[in-house]
Amino acid sequence: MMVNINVNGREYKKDIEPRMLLVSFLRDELNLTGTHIGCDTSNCGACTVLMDGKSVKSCTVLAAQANNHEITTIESSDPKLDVIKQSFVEENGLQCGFCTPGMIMQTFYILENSEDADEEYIKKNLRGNLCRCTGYKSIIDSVKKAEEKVKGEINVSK
Amino acid sequence: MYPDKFEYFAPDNIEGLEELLDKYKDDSKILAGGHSLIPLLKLRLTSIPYIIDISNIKALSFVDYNNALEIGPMVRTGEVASNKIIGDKCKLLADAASKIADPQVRNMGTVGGDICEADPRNDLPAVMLALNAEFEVTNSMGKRTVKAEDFFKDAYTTALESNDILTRIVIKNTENYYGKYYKYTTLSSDFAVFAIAINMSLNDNKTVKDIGIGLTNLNSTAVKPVEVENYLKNKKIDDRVAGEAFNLLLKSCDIEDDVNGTEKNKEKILKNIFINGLKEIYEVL
Repeated sequence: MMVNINVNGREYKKDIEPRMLLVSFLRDELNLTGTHIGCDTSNCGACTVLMDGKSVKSCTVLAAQANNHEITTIESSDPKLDVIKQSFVEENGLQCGFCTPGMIMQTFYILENSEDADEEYIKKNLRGNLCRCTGYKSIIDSVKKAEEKVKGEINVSK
Repeated sequence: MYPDKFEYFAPDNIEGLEELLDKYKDDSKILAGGHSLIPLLKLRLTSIPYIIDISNIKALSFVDYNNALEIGPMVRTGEVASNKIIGDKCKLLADAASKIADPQVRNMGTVGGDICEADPRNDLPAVMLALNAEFEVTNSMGKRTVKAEDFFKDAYTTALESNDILTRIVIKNTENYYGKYYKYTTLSSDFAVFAIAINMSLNDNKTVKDIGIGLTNLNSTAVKPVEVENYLKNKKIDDRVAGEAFNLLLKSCDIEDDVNGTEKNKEKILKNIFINGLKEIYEVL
């Protein structure tokens, strides 16, 4: 079947099998390998991407379901995403880094949807992302730092 | 992991959906959010030749209030948890939806999918039983209304025939009701070990006017313990009444030893959750 999927602002028209998963579409068809396949059972969140601005687990979404929708991945050049990435580096929000693309995309979703995310809110909304290096403390610190920076930049630009 | 091969359809109106269901019958399956169906397909626990995605049908996605709360089956559970009308009119449903899985899953999963899949571990069947919800069911021959208590037959089995579509969820028990969903899990993003949905209203003299209860994962499907509801009506809730209600509640449960705990231990936790829940809601009202 033909699908037309907008990924990071670019339209991709591809002829795919209906059973193709969105994560495979991104990795194998578009070569966007930043989105990781972790558990492949919608538990770990490593495959998190945004679909029309809402975070989803791309291992459990058919590429066909994303037809005519907008997908944002870790490869996006959104400036806010750069700020989040930098915050993860500064706060050591990763060890092996496998879960990180999912963590960062979910952080992006959190910051897009909340103006005042406290620690409780961050924890609640990172529920669907697992880190097996058990680095949650520094991940939460990274989200907080990203939030401060994003807020700061808004204030400066105002 | 890849599902077995299937043909994919995405009609944009209900007539188109009816036609496909009439044509492919048991060989077809409706895909709503897909967060139960796609894992089943990927694990090859099932194989379905014709998948019909209903996310393009706008008429299945709405939230209205007109003396009763009306919800379209394609409303995502994340939207159910944050929707203002639902939050105002039906605390129980908003509370339960916010406790389903994790944010990513709630962004895809739908209220109708949760109900129609009827996994005994799904949260919304018990909530619908507690709310005495009614379901508008449509097929190419017409529409009919099915009460929640007549809907859930067994694990993964509902009153829906292969060509039926859930088109509307109607909740009348909203004004003056308060409710909560008490969910016991070992991992916050996981399915419930068990859960209890309670929706209650009071008379002026502080006795229970009406109460609805639904149980998740305490039997082969979601259960409505009618005996307990009847026992509690017109009573004030105190420790003795709540304890007696729990003894009746156990008759509707089939608790077994498993990886989550022994029967005895789970019964103890259930008792605490149920009695504290009843008292909490009673005090709020």
